[in-house]
Amino acid sequence: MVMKCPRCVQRVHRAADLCPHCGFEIREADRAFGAQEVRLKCLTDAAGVLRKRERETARKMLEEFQRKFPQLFFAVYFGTFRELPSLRQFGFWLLNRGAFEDVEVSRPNQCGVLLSVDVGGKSAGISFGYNLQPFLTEDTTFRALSAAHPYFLQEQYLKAMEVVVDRLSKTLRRQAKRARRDPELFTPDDIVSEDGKGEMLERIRANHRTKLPKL
Amino acid sequence: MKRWLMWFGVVLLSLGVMAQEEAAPVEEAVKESEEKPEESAEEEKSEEEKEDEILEWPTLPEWSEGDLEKLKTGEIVPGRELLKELTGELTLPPLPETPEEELPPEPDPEEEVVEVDPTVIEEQFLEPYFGRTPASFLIDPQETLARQEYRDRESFLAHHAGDSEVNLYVYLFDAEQQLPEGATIETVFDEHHARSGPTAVVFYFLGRPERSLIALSESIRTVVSQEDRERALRVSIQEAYEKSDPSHQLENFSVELSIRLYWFEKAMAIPGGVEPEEDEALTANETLPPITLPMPESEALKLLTKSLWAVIVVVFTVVITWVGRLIARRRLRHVFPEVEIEPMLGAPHAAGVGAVVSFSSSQLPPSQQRDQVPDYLQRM
Repeated sequence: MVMKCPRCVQRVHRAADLCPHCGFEIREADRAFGAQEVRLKCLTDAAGVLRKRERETARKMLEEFQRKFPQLFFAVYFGTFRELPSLRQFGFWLLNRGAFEDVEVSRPNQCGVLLSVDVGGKSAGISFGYNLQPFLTEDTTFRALSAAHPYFLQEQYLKAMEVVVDRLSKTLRRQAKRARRDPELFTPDDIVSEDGKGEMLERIRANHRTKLPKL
Repeated sequence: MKRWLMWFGVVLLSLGVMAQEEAAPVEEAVKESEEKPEESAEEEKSEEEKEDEILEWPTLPEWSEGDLEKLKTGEIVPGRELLKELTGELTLPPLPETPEEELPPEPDPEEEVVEVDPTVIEEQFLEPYFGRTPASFLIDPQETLARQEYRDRESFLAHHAGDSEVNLYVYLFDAEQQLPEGATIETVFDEHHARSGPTAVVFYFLGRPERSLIALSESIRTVVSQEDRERALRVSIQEAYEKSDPSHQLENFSVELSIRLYWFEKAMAIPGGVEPEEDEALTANETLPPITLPMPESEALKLLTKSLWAVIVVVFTVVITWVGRLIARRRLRHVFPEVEIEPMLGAPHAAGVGAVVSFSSSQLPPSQQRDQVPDYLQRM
């Protein structure tokens, strides 16, 4: 598993508090986007690019993803960021500070995949939680975005979203099979103990209960 | 001068000959001239002088009776010698021979036109057909085939007999001829071919292959089923109908039947052949169609029903399988092993940084619009 810094895109050693190359950490993102956590839904169309019917379709699509993957959730954020410094940093920040209202508590943000689309800046990025780090890579996410690229160009955002969700679903399905056959392939060396897991879940639930202003 | 004299003599000679041909002797002409009215004295005088001059000339050749005959027959042609001298060798065209006219023979008033019944075999041919064992494999006393055609077909049958254990005898009849009463293929077979090993006898009606009859030896019938024998004849008839010319039809027929007999021979070599359903010789009656016999409607319907059921079962199975897999896939849940990674960069939930792709240009591929540049080199 190779981790990269959201700012300098350099490799970062696991469990590093700061990026050894640029000194980036979550507080840097908090300073850019806000220190407080935000409440939002899996599908957030802040840019207003989807019609009502398309939003319904998109929601069903995301529900279907959750049905197939009982531990995971997929979130999509359409926004227009005039002063946004980096879509990669925004995705990193949102997946850490966002509280997704329509996601069950049993699906923490560590198990989330976020597709963030800067409609004004014409760029799209994917971020994912800790639990998916063994199963997703930058390359697999790039392939999913490449498949949806023609639809992004034509501003068919629903179709582009559908393609990204579908491609990532296939990747995750394959990885789940592989993990079932050979779990050791995806077991990191520094697995957190069962006690630690309970603490994290509690923290997530606390975040969900906190009412925060919307972004 | 001599030449002129000769010319003059020849002219006189010709005139003389012409006069002789007209049966008017020269003497008579002279007499006639003497009997003419008196002419002037000067003229008489000049004639006397002329006669005196003539008497001084050499004597003219005298013509005999034989020369006259030769002249009449053309052996002597007046002036031939002179013309030879002028034009060299002169070849006269041969006289045309007048062929004797061949008159058509006068019709014999006693000969009457006998109308031949095309369905009846004449009495004189009954003996060669039915009365004796044939000396060749193709029996055609009526000469329904031309000689060359006969030789070709007969040589093929002889060739077949050399190759195969089963001899094939073909009796040729005209298209509409009917067998005389009491003469059947079975009787012919029993009388002339029953004691000569495996044999096939065919009565073939030239131009009407569908009327063909076949009789086979007991040794063949015990091994080859009636159905197979019937099929052999039917296929041979079909093969005959591939051609329009009766002679070629016979050729096709005999070739195909020869092939079928070869398979019969193979079946005979295998012990325990199929028992024939009937002991009688197989015959193909006139109603046998030249094409394959149509399958009975009920059998066709049964076959169709079976095929339909098979298709339905296969389709149903495929659909059920497909639906089952679809349902199973929909119900399938993909579960990941629970792993928890120690937080990094101070982030509580996620530090997975995926790809970022720009879609600002439709000209560049996604790989060239992939954002891999550090932020501090861009806007931050």
